[in-house]
Amino acid sequence: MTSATTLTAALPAEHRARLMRHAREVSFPAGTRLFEEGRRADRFWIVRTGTVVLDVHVPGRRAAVIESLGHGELVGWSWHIPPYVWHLGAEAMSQVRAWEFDAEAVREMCARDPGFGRAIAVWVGHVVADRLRAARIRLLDLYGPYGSGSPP
Amino acid sequence: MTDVPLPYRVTRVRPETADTVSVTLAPAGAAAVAPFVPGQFAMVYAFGVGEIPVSVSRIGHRELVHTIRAVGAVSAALCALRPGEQVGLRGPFGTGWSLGRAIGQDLLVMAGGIGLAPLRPLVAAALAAPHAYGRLNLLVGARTPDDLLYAGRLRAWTAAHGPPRCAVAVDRPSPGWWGRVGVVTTLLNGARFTPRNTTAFVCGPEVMIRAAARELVHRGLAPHRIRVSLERNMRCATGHCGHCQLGGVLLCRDGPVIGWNRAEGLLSVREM
Amino acid sequence: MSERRTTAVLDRTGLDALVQVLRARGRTVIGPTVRDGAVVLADLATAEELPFGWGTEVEAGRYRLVPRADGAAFAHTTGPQSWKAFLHPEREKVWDADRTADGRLSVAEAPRARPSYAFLGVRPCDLRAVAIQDRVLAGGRYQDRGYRERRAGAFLIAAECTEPGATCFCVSMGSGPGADAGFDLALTELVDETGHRFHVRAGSDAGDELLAEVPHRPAEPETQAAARDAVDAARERMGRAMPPVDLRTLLGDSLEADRWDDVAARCLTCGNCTMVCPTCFCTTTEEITDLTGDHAERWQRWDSCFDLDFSYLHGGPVRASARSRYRQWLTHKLSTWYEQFGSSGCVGCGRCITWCPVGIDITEEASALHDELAARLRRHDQEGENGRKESEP
Repeated sequence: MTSATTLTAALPAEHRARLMRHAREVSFPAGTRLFEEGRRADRFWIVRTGTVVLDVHVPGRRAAVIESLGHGELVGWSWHIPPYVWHLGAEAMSQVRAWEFDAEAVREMCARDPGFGRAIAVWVGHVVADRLRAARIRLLDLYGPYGSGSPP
Repeated sequence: MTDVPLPYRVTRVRPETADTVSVTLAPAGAAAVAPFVPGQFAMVYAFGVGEIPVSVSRIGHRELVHTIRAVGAVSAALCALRPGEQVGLRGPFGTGWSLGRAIGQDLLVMAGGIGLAPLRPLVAAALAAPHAYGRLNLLVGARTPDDLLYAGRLRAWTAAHGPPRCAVAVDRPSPGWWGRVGVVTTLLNGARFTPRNTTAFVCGPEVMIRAAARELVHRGLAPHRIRVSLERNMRCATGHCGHCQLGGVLLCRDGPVIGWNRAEGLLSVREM
Repeated sequence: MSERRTTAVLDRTGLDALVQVLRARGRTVIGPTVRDGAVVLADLATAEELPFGWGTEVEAGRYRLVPRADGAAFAHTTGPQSWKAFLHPEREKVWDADRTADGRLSVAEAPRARPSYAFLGVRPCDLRAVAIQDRVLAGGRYQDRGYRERRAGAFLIAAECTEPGATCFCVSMGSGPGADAGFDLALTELVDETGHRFHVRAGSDAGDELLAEVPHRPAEPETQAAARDAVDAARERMGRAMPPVDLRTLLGDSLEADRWDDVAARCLTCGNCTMVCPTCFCTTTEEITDLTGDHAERWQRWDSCFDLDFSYLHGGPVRASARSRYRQWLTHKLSTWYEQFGSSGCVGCGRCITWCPVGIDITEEASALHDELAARLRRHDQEGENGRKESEP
């Protein structure tokens, strides 16, 4: 489902190198909140080791975990699409090492260089499409007792 | 129809999930069925109720373990068995996973839901011959942590980082969940394999098989190196009743494990 | 060897003697006879019970007996039954299972009657059908023991076709109207100025040996030639034909054809075609328990791929639409049968056409699929051609 979404597969080497020049090495202990729903999406990450979970706050309940992201995967795409606001929360499930990027700086590079901008847009588009496909498959409840769907 | 079922005694019943149990069977008399290889199935007969195909999930010296989910009259009867009771057994039937054809290769075992049951003896066989194969990856998907088969084993493998290199994803986590959340194919990013030199073994709901096989092809696996286990209605298991046809394939005879090179076209035609 | 086989001529007395010798040897002689307005296959006490003086008039969805002035016994077409009714019976017990008070289970193969059949009047298309069922039920790794036993003990007397019906198409399936192999004796019935007689060829040692016990005269060249001519003439009078193409490929390439919707709009999914088809072999199982609960029986009975339950899986049928079920039947018969059992599953007997309540014609459907595929390929060629023209400078 995600072969096209890891950084090495998705970005041509030249654009990848440019992006990586803006990467900061960061590390989060387990339990760190990376971002919260509704806040400004001003950064994003690529996971090197460990697992980040995406969750939704439910009043009176424990946060519902929607998906987990691991090695090579992009954490956050709302920074690329207006209004640049997170629609989920994210938390380090384990000790996480990641590359962190400043969203505003990358957006500016995209605006200045259409070639780079298109490459980034295609990469983020892949990630979004991929998560949509995964969400749809999960919506089927495949592993239910009769597979999914009703008999004809 | 050929050969009547041999009596087998239930020696152990182990609940796996709310609707699934693992039943250990041993020959009730001197007669035993021929040895199974991973991926093959038996016809298990519940007295007075009927007979269904069940894959073998553990192959002992004389004992066999079948992991059975209660979805119909026969499977419900088998899930309700108690130690000491007897069932009838015919087999082994069908092609196995043909692990021997993957010697020297990385192995990618992908299971969804109850699909882990027929893959378990494959993992055991690969672990028993560590020098024969490359890296062994086990990727497992389930609905919720409570629906996970062999959860203790999987958790231990996941914590130990292999072999097998194991990762588990559920659709909906519950508090305390130790694995990933998402579809099983996302686990491929954490797997270690060289696509050109890898054989994949996939079992689960047909939609999951299709999604997994397409992703594996996209990642560079040769279609014939993606072995999938399929399911259709089955009555006799001996190639005579006609029920398990999938195009030119008689799944009881030519399957249940076939290559994706053959399966892809068959699964792409609706109502085939 | 085969050229040493006996050829002879029997008259009606000889034919009757043939039946008597077979019966005296303890064989149950099954052959065509008139009953309930049709030529059916039944236990014959004498050759007199054969349908002398009866012919049949068939069309898609139509079957009528018609009297014949010439008194011929084998001038009818195939009836609603085929020999599978005897070799692969509609219902058969497979095993008996018993459970003792302490829970011990024992399962034993069901005892079977071992009839010794002689089939009299097997059409060449049906001979082919028997050979096909031999491969399906007794030619693989596992064998249907009941079938194998009944088949191994059966003596086959073919009757070559001289009066093909309007729904017959054996010539295009390569299975008739002459019998070339797979029989113990082959009869060719002749009624002409020389009289009513049967040219006989032995096809096996058992056939040679039996013929020796039956009053006959040597086959004179004129009768031999007349028998050959009668079969040759039948070859020219086939009511129908399959399109002269590779049906295996045609069906394989037509899985998404529009024609399936057309035939599905007519098909009642009644399964008659599968019941009358001499090669259709599918069965299902029944579990029967007695009132004590200590005894259970496993039965197998004919099933049909037109039945919704046939493809039942996890709460629903895989093949729910009539389109998919008709496609399964036809594709299996003409195409996937090769992959499964090494030959076509169709012998051109025409029963499925005759006994279809709405007159669906397998040859017409195959032709329509061929036309549709040919049109599609022409369109592709055209588009390719146009594409090339456009790309030319």
